[in-house]
Amino acid sequence: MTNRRWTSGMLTTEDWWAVWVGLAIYAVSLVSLAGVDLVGWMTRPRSWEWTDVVGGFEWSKLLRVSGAGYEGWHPLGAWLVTYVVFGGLLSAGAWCQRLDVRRFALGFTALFAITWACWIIGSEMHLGAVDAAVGGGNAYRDHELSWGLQLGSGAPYLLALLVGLAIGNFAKGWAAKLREAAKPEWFIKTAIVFLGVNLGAMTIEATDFALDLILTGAAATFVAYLFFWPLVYTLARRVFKLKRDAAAVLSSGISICGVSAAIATGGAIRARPIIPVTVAMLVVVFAMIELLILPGFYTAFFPDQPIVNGAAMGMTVKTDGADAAAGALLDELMIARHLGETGEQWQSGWILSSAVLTKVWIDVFIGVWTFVLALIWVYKVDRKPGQVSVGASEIWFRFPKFVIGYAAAWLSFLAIASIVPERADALETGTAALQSPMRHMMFMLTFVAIGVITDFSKLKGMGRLALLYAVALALLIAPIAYAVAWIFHRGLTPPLA
Amino acid sequence: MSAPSDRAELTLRYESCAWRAFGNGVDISRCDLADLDAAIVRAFARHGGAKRVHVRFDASSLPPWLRQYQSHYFNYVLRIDEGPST
Repeated sequence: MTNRRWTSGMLTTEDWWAVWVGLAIYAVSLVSLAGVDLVGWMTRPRSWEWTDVVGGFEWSKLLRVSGAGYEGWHPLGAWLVTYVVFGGLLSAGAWCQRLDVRRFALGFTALFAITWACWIIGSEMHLGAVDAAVGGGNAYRDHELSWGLQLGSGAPYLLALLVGLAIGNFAKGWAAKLREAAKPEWFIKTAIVFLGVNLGAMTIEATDFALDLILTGAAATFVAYLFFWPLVYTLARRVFKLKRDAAAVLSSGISICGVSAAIATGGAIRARPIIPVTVAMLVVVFAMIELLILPGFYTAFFPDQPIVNGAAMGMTVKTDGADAAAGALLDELMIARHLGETGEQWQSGWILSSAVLTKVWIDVFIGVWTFVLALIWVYKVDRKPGQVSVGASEIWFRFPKFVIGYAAAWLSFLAIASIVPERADALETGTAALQSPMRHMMFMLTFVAIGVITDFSKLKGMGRLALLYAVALALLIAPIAYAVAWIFHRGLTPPLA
Repeated sequence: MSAPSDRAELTLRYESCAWRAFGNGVDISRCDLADLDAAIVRAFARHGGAKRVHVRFDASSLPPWLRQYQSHYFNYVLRIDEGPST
């Protein structure tokens, strides 16, 4: 499995398969332009109240289809179609990636069932309903709830995360069996391709705001790169006395984009793989801690800075899966809090997009940064310029390919809406299943999978590295990220729904 | 070694605490990568032919769970005519 040509990995890596799965479903949804809805079977949970369901159980009280043309379908039948389509596509990808397809399919089936159980239970009104008027009604008051956590749509996410973590830490035998299918990066990158369609729709609704978010996200990322890496590297070398290679790999892992940056940097400086592997284990566990703490922290302490919070999340939380998951949770928690306090409902997706866009910029630059690092190592550290050379193709090999799917979905949606504006409604309707329930389902799968693969006991024996990570995160990364995000995004709030 | 040509390719793996490069009739292991590079250069210089050796890391030697984050480790090129720098 070596990378020889620019096409290497197109059929054998999760990164590319996120592009293929995301764009394939998007392409099918575009048939709606011809008046045919081919994705309306996608199922979504309803908001439900338990006494109502216990009093007279019907599946239609828990589940419904997305498309009007599929309303005659039994909800369980539509749910099975959802399982078959996604299970089939992802299993095909697993086969191409030379995974054990039988183990993958069995594991995915279990993850799918857990995901939907969490999604349905998390949609119970006592967990999510907010005491505020939405669309002319107040579900909390209408159902005469005596209590409620008022977590909005964040409730299923939190539940999925807790269930995944319980499996990963208290049922390790089962977690090992699920590991072949627990691919949070693949799931989240597919969701991010779907999010590209969302961004297209949001750009049409609020063009200036979207462009502002994109450009300031790039600028914030650039500033963060300039500060984070040198500071963490200096801390690792001077205070924690790490060797050059370990300090470089850890600095990238902590300050840039987590596991992928640690591996890319390890490769760039030709470190023994054990170094990025060790750092990766650390990053995965710390990313989970960040995911558990930061959305609630930002919502509690900075409720009036939604976009700042999202961008700070993008710069602070490592790994795409944890960052996007944290962004999604932050999005839901902040919308619910703002709605409860002011009666105003922000549009869903903007806070998440600010977290994801910032992360995407960070990911995009990792190839360039590690190429520079590789040159520095060859010419200045190892001092072997006459013998070893590094090709610019390394930038491409390390480029996150899912970004191509994200950009393709976003720009093609904009192009179609501009070229055939009279079909804009059909486009919006046809891709609605993709923009909401499919994207949410991939996020839910990510929450469960990321919990399953996180084993907190792996922190044992990593004393000095774990301490460095905690110190750098708390004293450097999180405060600087928030300051940079505040400089570029302060005062920005999402449009009202 | 295989028939000489200007360019050769080796696959690099990290196995049992050692770097191993193989292909083109070469199979060399060393604990240190710089030592491995020097050994490769010596092997190709001895037999003549290849001026550039493309060394490509085999990502399948990384733990499977890691590959979803980054599927590339590193490639590099060794120039044989300039000999090993020690």
